[in-house]
Amino acid sequence: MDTVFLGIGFGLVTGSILALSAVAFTLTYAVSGIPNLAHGELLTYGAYAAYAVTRATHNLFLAAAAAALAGGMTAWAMNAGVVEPFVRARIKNIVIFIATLGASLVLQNIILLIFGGANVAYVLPQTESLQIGPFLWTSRDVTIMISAFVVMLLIYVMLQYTKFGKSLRAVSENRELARVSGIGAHRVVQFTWFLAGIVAGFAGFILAVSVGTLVPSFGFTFLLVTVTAAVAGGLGKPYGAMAAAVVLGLAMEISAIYVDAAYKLLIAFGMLVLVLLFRPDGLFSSKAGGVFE
Amino acid sequence: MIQYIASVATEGVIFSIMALGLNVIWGWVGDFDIAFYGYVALGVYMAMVTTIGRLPAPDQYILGWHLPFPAAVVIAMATAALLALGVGAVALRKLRASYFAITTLATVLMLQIFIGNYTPLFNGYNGLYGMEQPFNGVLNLSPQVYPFFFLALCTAVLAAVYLVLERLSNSPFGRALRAVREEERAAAAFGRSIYTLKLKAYVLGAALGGLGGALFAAYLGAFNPTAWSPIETLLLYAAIFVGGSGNNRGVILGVMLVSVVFQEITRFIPNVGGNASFSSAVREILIGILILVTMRYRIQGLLPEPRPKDAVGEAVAAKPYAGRGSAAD
Repeated sequence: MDTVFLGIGFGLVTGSILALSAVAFTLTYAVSGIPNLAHGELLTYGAYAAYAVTRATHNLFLAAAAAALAGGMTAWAMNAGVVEPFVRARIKNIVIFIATLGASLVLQNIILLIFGGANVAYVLPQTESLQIGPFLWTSRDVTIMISAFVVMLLIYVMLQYTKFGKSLRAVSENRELARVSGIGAHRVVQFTWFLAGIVAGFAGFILAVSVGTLVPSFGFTFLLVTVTAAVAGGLGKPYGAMAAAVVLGLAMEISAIYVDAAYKLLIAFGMLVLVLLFRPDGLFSSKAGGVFE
Repeated sequence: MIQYIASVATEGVIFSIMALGLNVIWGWVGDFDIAFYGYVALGVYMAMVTTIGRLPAPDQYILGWHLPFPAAVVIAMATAALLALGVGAVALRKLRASYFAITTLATVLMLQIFIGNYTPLFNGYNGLYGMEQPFNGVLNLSPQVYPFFFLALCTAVLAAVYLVLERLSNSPFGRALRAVREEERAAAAFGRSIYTLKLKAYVLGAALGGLGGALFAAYLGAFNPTAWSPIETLLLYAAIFVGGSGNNRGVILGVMLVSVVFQEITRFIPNVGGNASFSSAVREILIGILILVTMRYRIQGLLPEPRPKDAVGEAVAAKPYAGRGSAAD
């Protein structure tokens, strides 16, 4: 029984990091309609920016801020430089999707160029273990979960109660309709990407803190898990993505108790395929059937 | 020097066979399949386990036969086709465009994790080695001469593949595939079974991937899971995009330009500042930029797919395949 709670504990940590990454992914999908295959690189850029800052200052708060900013700027550039020009040229969605894969290749190798391919790690303060109820966490895990929860709360408040949040929802429903209703759709799209980048960059930082080391392909490895959560939550639906991320995190970590941990990702990707086949509209959707493009 | 050229040319010819297979799936039908290199890898593995016999312990893998090379090729193609039949039967039923692409990406990563970790299959992450030169047991050519024989062999296979595909491309089957690509609903309205057509093309493409894989096995001699990340599929796509999606000649041109000339030239970029990955990073950045520029400005590639002509020789389709459409589709 103890090991199950240990698995649940790990699962909640993984799930909360995954939730941030999946929300960012789903927000960019909501406004642009493109699954961004370069999403993993937002996490990578955040994590490496934080690494550069920790080496210079040893201040983890500054590192987190740098991660968020780097992620935001990368996402902004990705949209302004790749996605938006393609959308404006009215190029097929599948081609834009391929272009994001090309962008991923470029971005990943820029990191390889600057930092090299070797593992790097943050210098982190000592951490003690905490027994909370049946769960055993480190103080680092708890910090990760709390910070992820705060970010999600902020996203919720922003989406529900700000004018920008309303515009974002309107644009994601129908960009043209939002435009003729007087919403600066282009601005909303740009800012959404920037915001999603901030969230993803921060997610990259806490992921790197949790995992311990990072390599240039670090974000790409996390991409498909992110996609799994986002699709399971219903693409373009931020709250669905959050919920699915936690479910997926739990499923991955609990399964790691029973099967070899090397197969953890196999289980996640298997879930992705199953979700795509049987619930392509998301686990929480009531719609069914049809062809999915 | 001439040995080097023969080696590079052989690689180009083998990649051409793979790219022609992928072009059936992407160029003709328009399905963006990221799992393709998985079929190539399966072809490599199957060709190896059916020809290398038993390696000493602790290496472990299935079969361990000593079959002649042509039999291994057939088995490699059949296995790749069988896996594609399974994947395609499930994934092509109702998933399209990026949903299909993501499914295939997940599939190839699952395959990679499974083969890497489950050692009794293909020796896990250690991979296989010890592939002998095909037909050299009979021919007994010297190491200086054999590469030229192998190049000729691969070129002959490529020529055969090319001729078959050219015929297929202009056959009713090839035209039906393009109809599905251009407008699925219209093709269905004309009585075509979309699912069957897509699946047939998918299996055909994968079988050619397996064929390319079997030749690649003989070329490489050794193979392991690090050799087939999803990036390899993207490199094949880069060649197809640049050459011309849907056009067999264009695809071969693209492979020669991107996978051969470009790869070989960028090999001479020196590593700077003690970063051993510098030159490969520069190369992949350039390939990424090449993909982006092609997608944005010349989606039809250097040699665009020829337009269908009617009996008089006039183009019947209003627009060539340009990958353009409304942003909503």
